[in-house]
Amino acid sequence: MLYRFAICLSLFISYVLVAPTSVHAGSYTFPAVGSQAENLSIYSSTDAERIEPLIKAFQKRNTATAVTYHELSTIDVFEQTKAEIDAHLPTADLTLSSAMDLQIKLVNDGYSQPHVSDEIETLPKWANWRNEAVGFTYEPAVMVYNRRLAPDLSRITTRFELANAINKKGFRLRGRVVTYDPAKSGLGYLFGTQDAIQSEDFWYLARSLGDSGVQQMSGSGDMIDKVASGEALIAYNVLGSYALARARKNPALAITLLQDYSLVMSRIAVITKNAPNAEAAGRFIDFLLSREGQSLIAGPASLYALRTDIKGAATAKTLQEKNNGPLIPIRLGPGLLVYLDHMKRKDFLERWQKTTHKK
Amino acid sequence: MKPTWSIRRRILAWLFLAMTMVFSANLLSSYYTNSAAANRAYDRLLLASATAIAERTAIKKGLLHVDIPYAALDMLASTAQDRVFYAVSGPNGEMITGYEGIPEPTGHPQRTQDQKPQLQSFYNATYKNVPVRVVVLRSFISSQHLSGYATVTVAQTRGDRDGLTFSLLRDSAVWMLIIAIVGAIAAWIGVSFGLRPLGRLREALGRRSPDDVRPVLHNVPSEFQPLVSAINSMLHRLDGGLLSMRNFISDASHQLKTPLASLQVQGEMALRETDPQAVRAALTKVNISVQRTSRLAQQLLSHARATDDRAAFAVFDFANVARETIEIALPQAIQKSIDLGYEGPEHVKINGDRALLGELVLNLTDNALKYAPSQSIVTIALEDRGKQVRLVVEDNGPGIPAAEYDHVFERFVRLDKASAEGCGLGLAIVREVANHHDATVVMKDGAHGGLRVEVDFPEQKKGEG
Repeated sequence: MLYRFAICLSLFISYVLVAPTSVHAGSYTFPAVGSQAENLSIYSSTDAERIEPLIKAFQKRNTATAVTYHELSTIDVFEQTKAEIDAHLPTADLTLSSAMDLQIKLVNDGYSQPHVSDEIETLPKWANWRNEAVGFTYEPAVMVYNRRLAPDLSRITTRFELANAINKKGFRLRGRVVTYDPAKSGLGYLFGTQDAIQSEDFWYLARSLGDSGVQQMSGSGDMIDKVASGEALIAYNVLGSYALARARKNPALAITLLQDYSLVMSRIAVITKNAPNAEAAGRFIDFLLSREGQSLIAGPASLYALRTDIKGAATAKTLQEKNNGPLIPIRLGPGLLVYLDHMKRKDFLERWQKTTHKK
Repeated sequence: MKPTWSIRRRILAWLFLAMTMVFSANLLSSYYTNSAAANRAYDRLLLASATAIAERTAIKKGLLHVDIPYAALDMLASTAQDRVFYAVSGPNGEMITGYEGIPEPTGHPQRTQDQKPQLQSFYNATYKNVPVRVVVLRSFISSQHLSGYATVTVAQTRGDRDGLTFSLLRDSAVWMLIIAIVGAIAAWIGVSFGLRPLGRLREALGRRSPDDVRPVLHNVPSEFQPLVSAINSMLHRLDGGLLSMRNFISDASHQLKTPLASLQVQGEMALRETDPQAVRAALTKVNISVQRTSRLAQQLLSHARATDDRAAFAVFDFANVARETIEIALPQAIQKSIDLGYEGPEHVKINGDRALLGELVLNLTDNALKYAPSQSIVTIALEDRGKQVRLVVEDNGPGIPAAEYDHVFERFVRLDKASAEGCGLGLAIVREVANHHDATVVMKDGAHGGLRVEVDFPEQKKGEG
């Protein structure tokens, strides 16, 4: 285990230097229900408590499978998998990550293997790349505001209006707008860069955010906390699944899907190239995409179900049926590699810093 | 008759063979063509991607800077979802951004004739253990700090190209299969049509009476012309054979009629006699006539057989046959006080029909004994001349005029019309038997004034058995 420790240490160091973000940590073991015959090892950026109902249900159907769940940051999911495969060390069977771009890079750079199944065939094209990167959720990026403290914010329906509102109500919103720090959060970076591709208004909004002294944070949960406590009034580009879960418990929290467009993120499953138990990983993916798996994703896991034949609030179907404006899923493909280019990343972050840290 | 492969099957087999060869060649060539076509189509896209990157390559604060446009890689999103690799390097080959270690083109000169770097080149390579298509694009950039060629490399896995190549290949294979099926059906039907004239010919021949040997005058395709010619020539020969057989039968029956008529007369006379002495004398005459008639019948059969096949050929001792002949003819010779003898080696091996050759020797001997006067000498001689054998029958009788030499070989010709003996078949048989053995018969004046008949047998190919 010493080598594992060494890698973790080196990763930890680079991690601290590059991106000291929210505390993802911990390994969870779910022993087999029956007598154990195999182990499925997962690196994932999703909170264990959210994924737990899925794992438990999976184990009911696969009683001999023990699951080891390593909760890591999106960057660690990528770096650790890559480093272990490069060093020919044992690695996880399956990686689950919300950083779609990093998962695409894992596949593009040859760290994955395909999984072909009927379940995967039913996926929309944008959510499947090479049968190696497979989406299983449908989570919109949303705006959250504090309905109790600022009910008038319900009038904001577009990015342009948001920017104008910040500009106009500069004093009231000053220092009370939060968003992702793209430098610290992989998902924040993905949302930011996709916004930049999608919208002409993005940099205008960024300037407004900068003018208002936006607070930049590394996790959706932290941002929602700020809005819930009233410390902030608006959180921009919050992960819809987290917002929905919190809004269910806290009526002060209101969720807006902006009418100009909403980005939709999908968590991506990738089976590693030298997975010791690729077969079980494939079964787990199929389970995630099955009706049962998707129902759990829409229900207890409070992630949004990708399948359109699942009913409930947290489903793609419900999102699409409500008058939400265009929902733009982030398409899996080589385009996602562009913003991972280190020079491109540096440019983007520099521009972001320059735009948002004016004052 | 066991039928061999039908013409239809033969044609289909040849067609299949030819088509297999043509199709293999066609598939191979269309693989290369299609592969080139697929490369052309996708190379354009690859170049567009590299161009988009190159356009955003600039010098910023004295350093080479690339702002890779989103579209540059997004446009390479293909149906086969190919993987994409790219790299940008500076004038001195220093890596600016992208993937390291994308292989450089091999085997091609990297500079054109005027020593400028080639601006763009495409090649196949293997990167990260997968086959990729690579474009290298060089673009000149210049500023006060730095100038030179920036190199943009974009590589893509070959899924879409191979997919396109395969689908084009599949299309052409399907077409070839259709052609093959249509061709086979056409051949099948065509053979039926083509063979129709043969069917008509068969019917025409089938309708004929057995003795109808007129040539076939049907119009047939040129391929069947040789067959019809062969049939006609066979019919012609058959016609000749039938004619000669008919002649022979009429001759033979005519010949048999005379002795049989005289037998009848002698028989009736014998019946009329009452004196036992006279009856006996009459029966003796009848007996002689029966022997002569029997001999005639035997000669007729020999003649018929001599025109038949060579099935009875074997190696035997010709000297024995000569001696046996002398034994048979000896009583006749003694009766005429003729000195009949054999000259020659103890054994002479020859390959032939023993019975027919015996008949030949006997006929020649008989002839000599018949026409030679008493007190003369008749000699049967055999000469073993290595591989050739010569039979000589010579007498010192009156001989025959040289002008008649050819004539005497004809059937039922007798020079001495008055003589009751013989029927004129003997020398005709000699000629037939000689022909049957590829031997030549020559008549000469004998050394002592009589007739000398030489029969020369050709080389004895079958050896000594």
